[in-house]
Amino acid sequence: MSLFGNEIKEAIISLDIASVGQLTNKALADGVKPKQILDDGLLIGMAVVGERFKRSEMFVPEVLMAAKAMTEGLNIIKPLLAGEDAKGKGTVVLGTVKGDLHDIGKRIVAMMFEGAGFDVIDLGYDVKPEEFVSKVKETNACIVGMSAMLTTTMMQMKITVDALKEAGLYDKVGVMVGGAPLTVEYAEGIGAKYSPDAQVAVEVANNIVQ
Amino acid sequence: MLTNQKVNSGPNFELWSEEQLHELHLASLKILENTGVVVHDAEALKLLKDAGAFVEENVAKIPAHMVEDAIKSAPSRVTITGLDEKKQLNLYRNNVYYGLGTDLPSFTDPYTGKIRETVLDDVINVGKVTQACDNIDFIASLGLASDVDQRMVDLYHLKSVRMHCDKPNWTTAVDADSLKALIDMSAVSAGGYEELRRNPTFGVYNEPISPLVYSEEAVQKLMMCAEYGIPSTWASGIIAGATGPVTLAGCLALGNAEGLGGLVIHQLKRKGSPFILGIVMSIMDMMTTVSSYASPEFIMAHAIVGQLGRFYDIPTYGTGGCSDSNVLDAQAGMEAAFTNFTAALGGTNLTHDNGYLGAGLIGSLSMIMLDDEVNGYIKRFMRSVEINSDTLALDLIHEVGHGGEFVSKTHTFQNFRKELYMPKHANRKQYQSWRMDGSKPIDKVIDERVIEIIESVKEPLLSAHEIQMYDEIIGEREAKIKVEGLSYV
Repeated sequence: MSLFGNEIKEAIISLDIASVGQLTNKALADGVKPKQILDDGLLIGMAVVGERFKRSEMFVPEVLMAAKAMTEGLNIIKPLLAGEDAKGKGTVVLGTVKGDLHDIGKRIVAMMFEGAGFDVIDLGYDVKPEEFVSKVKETNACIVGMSAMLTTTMMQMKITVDALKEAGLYDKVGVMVGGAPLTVEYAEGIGAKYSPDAQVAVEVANNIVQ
Repeated sequence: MLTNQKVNSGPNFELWSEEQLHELHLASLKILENTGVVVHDAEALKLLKDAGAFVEENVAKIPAHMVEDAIKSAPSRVTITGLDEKKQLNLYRNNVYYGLGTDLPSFTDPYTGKIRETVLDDVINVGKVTQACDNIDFIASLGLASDVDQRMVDLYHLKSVRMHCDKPNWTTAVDADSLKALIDMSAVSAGGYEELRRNPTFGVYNEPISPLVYSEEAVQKLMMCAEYGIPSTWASGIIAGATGPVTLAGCLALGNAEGLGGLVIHQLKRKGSPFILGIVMSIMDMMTTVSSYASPEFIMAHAIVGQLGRFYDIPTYGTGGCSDSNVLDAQAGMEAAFTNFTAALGGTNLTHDNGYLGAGLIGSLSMIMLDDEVNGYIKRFMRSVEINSDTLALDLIHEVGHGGEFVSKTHTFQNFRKELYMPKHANRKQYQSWRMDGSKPIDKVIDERVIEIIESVKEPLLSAHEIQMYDEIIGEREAKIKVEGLSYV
């Protein structure tokens, strides 16, 4: 592995946001290609963090800090990435469904998705079905994710899925759902993919875009 | 003449000193004054503004004097009485009661042990089992029935738990209209609205959304409770490290500010209405992001709530008898004992969530019975060891003398039931005799007793008249929801 790549990787693992920025700029100045910085540095650093998280050696606040560090580098190289490389993994539209004001879980998922290399559009809470639909249409999103904390608002997920179908978007977008009262069975019943936590959500999202 | 006698009739547990409680109180006042709360309800904002709060759009900044007035006017004692009026909760100071929690979407099937969606039959069984547990003092739905209309699920729950259990009720309400129907149903059993106000038979779990947001629906329910004299909490379900600071003191200060802000609205709506102070503070597990129901931090936070209640002289809301384990296993037993015992030490008056498994997602009839046993141990412990001439039994010791026995003595016969706790389910058989009995671990013993109870209890405790009136109120609500044209999904 290249020296710069190793340094950037190490900076991400040690959650050193400032160094990731400096090292990225330095690598660019030395003539390293942006795509190489991404692949050999930023993404490898996040992959190590992901592994350590799975082994309970790193925890959520550290993973989020690593994601911030990666974003620091990503923001520098993004305008320089060309063609296919600039696309990233795709856009994810997220929101807590209509009538529900709880959004801590969805916020954590949003941060984890950003760390995994998705472009995230967080519509916040109390999001109506038509708002999900128009944002998916507008951004050409590859994934739409809905969160609900209450059994009384959970039913909005099905209404939103129906609205996506009506707009002819359902077959073009992966639908993900999560939240305390949900079950695998409920998600399957409405034609959505369930994840019990943010970590699994990232895996499900990766499978959708692969 | 004995002088300066001090008797400990139980432990004297204190996590914080009064100075520390005061520091937390001042921090909460500062949050309400400086940051304020978002209130999504016009009536509550007007009440706050008219009483001197600084209101800009929907943010209310509440000055300290308003909070301290509300603390003063809230009653120091709150009662919730069962349909059997001998079963009454007297919530004050260090008087601790245990009961269930509400609304768990999943349930452990009593026959197969499989975890599946909760149905209304489970809630009926919760009534049967809770009635049989004399160390469970109040009842709640435990489950959230998935096979009825979710917009009035609370009404089906209340009828179902009351069918076979006459203990005081704890419940949530779907919305203000549904709460009114719960009040109507309870007024039928109480013999009128005034009677219900004087002797409320149920209390309501109302809550803010952390950090510092009061939803319209929740505020309306809180105010309706104040209006009808139905005891209510405004207990923040704040999560340290997620919806509150990870440092526990800051999280408690924020959760307490949220609770006190609700108390202000509640007392402005109707001064002297019964309020139960609470902060159901958990921590976010930093591996799974799950809000844990039995962490040591959770337990300390509740112990401080108990102390805060005595500091304010307002009854408190506690949490215990719950576990993060998904099944009734060694972890569930450990956490049930740890949470309920420390709730007793902390002195939280209305200790709810007995019967909870799976970090607040799975209900279990067997967990109710395990908690019943745990609470039996705790109640005995809290009666402590009485010392006087009768309990010292020096005459008897002298009489029996060297190498005799005590088991056949009248003194033993007269005192053993009071002195000794007799376990209901816990094993005390030695190995050979336990093996001859089928080598059953406690969860299997309890599972079998649960089946015996739910199959043997048949006759409803509610009168035919009550059932008819309840059904009418539920029917009216069903019809109204149909007219509103919202389809149940």
